[in-house]
Amino acid sequence: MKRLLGVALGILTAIGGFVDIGDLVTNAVVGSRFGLSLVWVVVVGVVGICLFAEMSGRVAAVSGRATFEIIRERLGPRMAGANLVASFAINLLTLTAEVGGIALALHLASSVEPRLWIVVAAAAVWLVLWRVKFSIMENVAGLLGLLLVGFGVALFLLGPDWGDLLAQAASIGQPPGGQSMGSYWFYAVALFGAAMTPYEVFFFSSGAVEEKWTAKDLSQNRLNVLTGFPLGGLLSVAIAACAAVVLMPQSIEVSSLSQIVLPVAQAGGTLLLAVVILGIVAATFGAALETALSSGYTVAQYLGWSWGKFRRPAKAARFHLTMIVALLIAVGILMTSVDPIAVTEMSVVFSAVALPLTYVPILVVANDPEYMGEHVSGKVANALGSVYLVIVLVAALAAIPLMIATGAGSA
Amino acid sequence: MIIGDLLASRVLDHDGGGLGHVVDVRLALELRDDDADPETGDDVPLSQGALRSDLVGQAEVVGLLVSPHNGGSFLGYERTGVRSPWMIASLMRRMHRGTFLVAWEQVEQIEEGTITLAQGFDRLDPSLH
Repeated sequence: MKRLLGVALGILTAIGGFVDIGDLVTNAVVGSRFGLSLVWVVVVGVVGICLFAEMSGRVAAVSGRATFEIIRERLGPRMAGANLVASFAINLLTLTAEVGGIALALHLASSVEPRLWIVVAAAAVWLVLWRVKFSIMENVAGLLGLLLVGFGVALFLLGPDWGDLLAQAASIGQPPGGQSMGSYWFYAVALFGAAMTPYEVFFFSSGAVEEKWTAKDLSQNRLNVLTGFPLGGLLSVAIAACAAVVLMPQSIEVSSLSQIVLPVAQAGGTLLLAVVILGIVAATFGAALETALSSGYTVAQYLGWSWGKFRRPAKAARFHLTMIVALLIAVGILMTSVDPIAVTEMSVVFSAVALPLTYVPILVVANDPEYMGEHVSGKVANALGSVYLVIVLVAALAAIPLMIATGAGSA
Repeated sequence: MIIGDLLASRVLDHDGGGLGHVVDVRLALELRDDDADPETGDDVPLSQGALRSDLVGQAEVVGLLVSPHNGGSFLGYERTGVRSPWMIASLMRRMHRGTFLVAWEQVEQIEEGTITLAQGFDRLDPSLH
């Protein structure tokens, strides 16, 4: 019974933890402009993150080494150092977006100025990082994040023409009238970056070390990832579908959180809106914790510092200091009155750019018998892994040219 | 001296001819009795050893890995016969074809950025087995 409960908890946490501010914003923007014609990218992204998280979890469980320790070991100090600078910067951008997202959601619930909430949100994130046990932190954020299922409820209450939605989903590569092909592909890359974000892997592999996984936990790892992430992906699709049903016909272009939740308010009234806002707070708060931890994990693992929440802060002082500095920088960026939604859109695109930096070393080490023994990647994992290597590289190379050519999707 | 001083240095033969760049430094960990499998006497795989890092003895420099074409990382493919995933493995093998290991005793002189090997040095196989 207890074991069953553990399995269920792992899966539920993976579902609730899947969606972050990047998924929320990108799916709503895409839904309002392109309907469901980009939903195939969510499928590609979810399969990719399943593959990537399974590999990095397996590597961490079997070898006891997290992602950035492996990057340092395989790439050498210089290339890994360049990788660290890029990965850390993009993770910082994601952290900024998540903290901004918490503030926007709290602003929506309270009408208190978002800039005040930014400070409160960052302080709350720090307090949890400092005091709360890793497993409690993960489970609470993940379970409350499940409230985002409210987007699915809203979709049913809206009573859309399901045949029409399916037809939209089937029109791959055909943006609806008035939308350019360049923007379509730009948002395809952004959506892919939102589903496959590097911090998820830093966090997932380091989390496996935090929770002291061994080879015995591999089946649990696989189950969590392979059921939790696809169900989390369904939440993403529900967000896009809500936007496609309500916002697209009225040509509303999403530029704020209140527009993202507009379909929910319209379908389910204040109660459902309250549930979804709580879900957004939990999802962005959980992701802020994960990105803040990732900033500490990456730097500490590269430099060989002691790291991890399983140690008391005094025993991993530099790890905790790195997280504090990252949070302060994020608050500083947000205090310039930059729009958190714009930061989010940047962060998902740059996530796609940075993805190969972490993907390739994990793919390589998952094949190394010196590290993995009998748990090296099988034929299927390698075939899929090679297909995704191409996809990840193409998305990374196409992201910046597409961004310039389309004026970040505005064309 | 730290390993960072050696990595990416140019490697010359005794007469000053270029051989390539240092891509890695091979170390051997001193084996302690309890590191070996009691039945076969084999070294225990790293995947198990990682959990027993308190048992590692002293490290010793075996030699330098020299790649004639490229100063970048080999991603670990020089150590084993691993051929997967095919795309990365074959690219790495191509970029680093002709890589050899030279014993530390056959290094004649180390200056900043340049390493000279002794006359008649041996090109050893870079794989671990």
